[in-house]
Amino acid sequence: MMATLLTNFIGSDTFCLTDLERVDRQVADPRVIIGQRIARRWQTPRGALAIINDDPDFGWDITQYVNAKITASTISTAQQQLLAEALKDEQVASGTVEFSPGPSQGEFVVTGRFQSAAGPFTLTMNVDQLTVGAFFTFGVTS
Amino acid sequence: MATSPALSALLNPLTVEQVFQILLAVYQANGFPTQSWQPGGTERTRLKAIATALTDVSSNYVPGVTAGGFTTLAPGTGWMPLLASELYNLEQEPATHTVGTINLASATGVGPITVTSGSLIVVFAGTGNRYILAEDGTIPAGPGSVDLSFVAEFAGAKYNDPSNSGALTLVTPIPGVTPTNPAGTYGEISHVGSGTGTLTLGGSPTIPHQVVVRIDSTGDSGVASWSYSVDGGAFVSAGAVPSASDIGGTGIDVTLVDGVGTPNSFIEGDTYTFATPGTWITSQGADIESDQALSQRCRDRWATLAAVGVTGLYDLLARSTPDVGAQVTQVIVQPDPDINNKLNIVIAGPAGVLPAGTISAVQSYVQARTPITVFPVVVSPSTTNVTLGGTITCQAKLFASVQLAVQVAMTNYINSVPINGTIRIARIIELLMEIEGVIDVASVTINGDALNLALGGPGIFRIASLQPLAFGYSTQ
Repeated sequence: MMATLLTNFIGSDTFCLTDLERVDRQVADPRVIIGQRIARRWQTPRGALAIINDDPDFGWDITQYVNAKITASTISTAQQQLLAEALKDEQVASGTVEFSPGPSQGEFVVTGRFQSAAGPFTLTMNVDQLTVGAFFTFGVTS
Repeated sequence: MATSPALSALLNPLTVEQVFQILLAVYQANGFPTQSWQPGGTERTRLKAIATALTDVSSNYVPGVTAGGFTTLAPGTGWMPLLASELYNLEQEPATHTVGTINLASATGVGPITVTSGSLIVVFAGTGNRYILAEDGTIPAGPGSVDLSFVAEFAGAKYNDPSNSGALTLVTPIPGVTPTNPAGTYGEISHVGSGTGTLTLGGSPTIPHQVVVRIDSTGDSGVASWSYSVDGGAFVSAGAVPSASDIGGTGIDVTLVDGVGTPNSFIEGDTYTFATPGTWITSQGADIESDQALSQRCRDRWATLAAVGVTGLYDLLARSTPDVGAQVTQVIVQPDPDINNKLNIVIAGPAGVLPAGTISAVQSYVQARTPITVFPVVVSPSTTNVTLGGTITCQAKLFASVQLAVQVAMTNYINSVPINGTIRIARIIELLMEIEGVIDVASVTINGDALNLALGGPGIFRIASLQPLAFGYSTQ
């Protein structure tokens, strides 16, 4: 799925993957900035930002799949929904999302490979009942 | 030097978006790349949250606090009572209880039964309102009856059930005892003064009237001279006669009856006030004084500083009479067009015409505080009987509840029409259609005419008195 890049100006932002750090740390790497925005999209329930008068269409909470019945159809749908959410970011041109069960019951791994205005990167999120972990790999996404 | 914010800015808070833009501008001025911040960005989300919190505080508190300092803006903010108390030394009038007389009739073979205050509760089927016995008494052996005073269970204007309400029942029935709330031909006679004499009323008045009998010279019946005023009009001397019939062409007969103070049962200056028809209510229930009414009293305070009494002074006095409380909800002050120095003060309560005792209390209070060059006369407006008719179509299964709701709705509407107001066909239809179960309303009339009814006119003060409804019903 392709999207038109609306701007190549990434700027900077405060580091925040799953929570704010005790001391604010500014992020300058544009791939990290975009990737963290996607990670936060995948942790925000749809409509949550409306409470603070921001985009009501923001978010698709990845933790909703925890303890859900996972079938081939569920996986296919989740991949489409997570990709569609990521492509809402103005600086994401294209990407793929892979949803796979984790090593233990109730765990799963979501891997997103994106082409952005700042170059390609991979975002991997490990989700279980209690935690959401995320890390990046930068470079070719194929 | 920083300028003070305009009043309009304090009363109209900024929106979340406006506050957010202000915060963004501050960040941008300090070199932050705010234009790249997208939904979900950390700093953007943080600023949105801050803007939301700031707007919540500013919109919930700043406009209210600002408006609370002005009598014209404070109503509805919750600040009006404090503003009135602190700056104008006026306390918000509390709600009052309706007090009325209920007749308890005993059948043959029943009684006598001694009852004590609080031991009986009467419920009005039409409204569900409950009234509690307010005095000790004895229900006589039947067939007999006794009039006892009852007070509304709670304070408020909703406890103004009409006379002859029909289905009254005792919460704890006493076999053979039936409660009713009839209205006599005349209401209670309110006496202001020190005389011991009383009045006996008779005759057959055909339309509502208010009458004030004034003693012009001291003496017993047949010696004391007296005058009468009908519906706020000029006093007409009756001379020193012991009685007069059909005073002023009203059909009312008045007889002076000596008291224990003979040979001076009647004292010069005393007044006796009464109205016809009577009402079972002796003290009208009222809601707590509204912010708007309290605001008006505050502004009227300024009139008390004037060397010459002005309208606001009399409005304030009428609304501030002790023990009357919030009963007075309407006041019209107008110089009499015919009598020099006479000031007509027309007052009404939430249920229309106020009891004679309330009129007398306000008269005494106002009279004691006006210059000797002013002759204030406190009266209730004359009443215009209003009969509402038409055809109401409703659901068959809700017929009974519709009838009750129609009575309540029309009573409340007529009570809400001010002195010299207009009763509107469109409003009647609107209120009836809001009742659950009503499907259609047609052919609405007021006193037989399909036209709005304007009460009173220049120099003529009238208020509506709702008569038994004449609606026809069809069910589906």
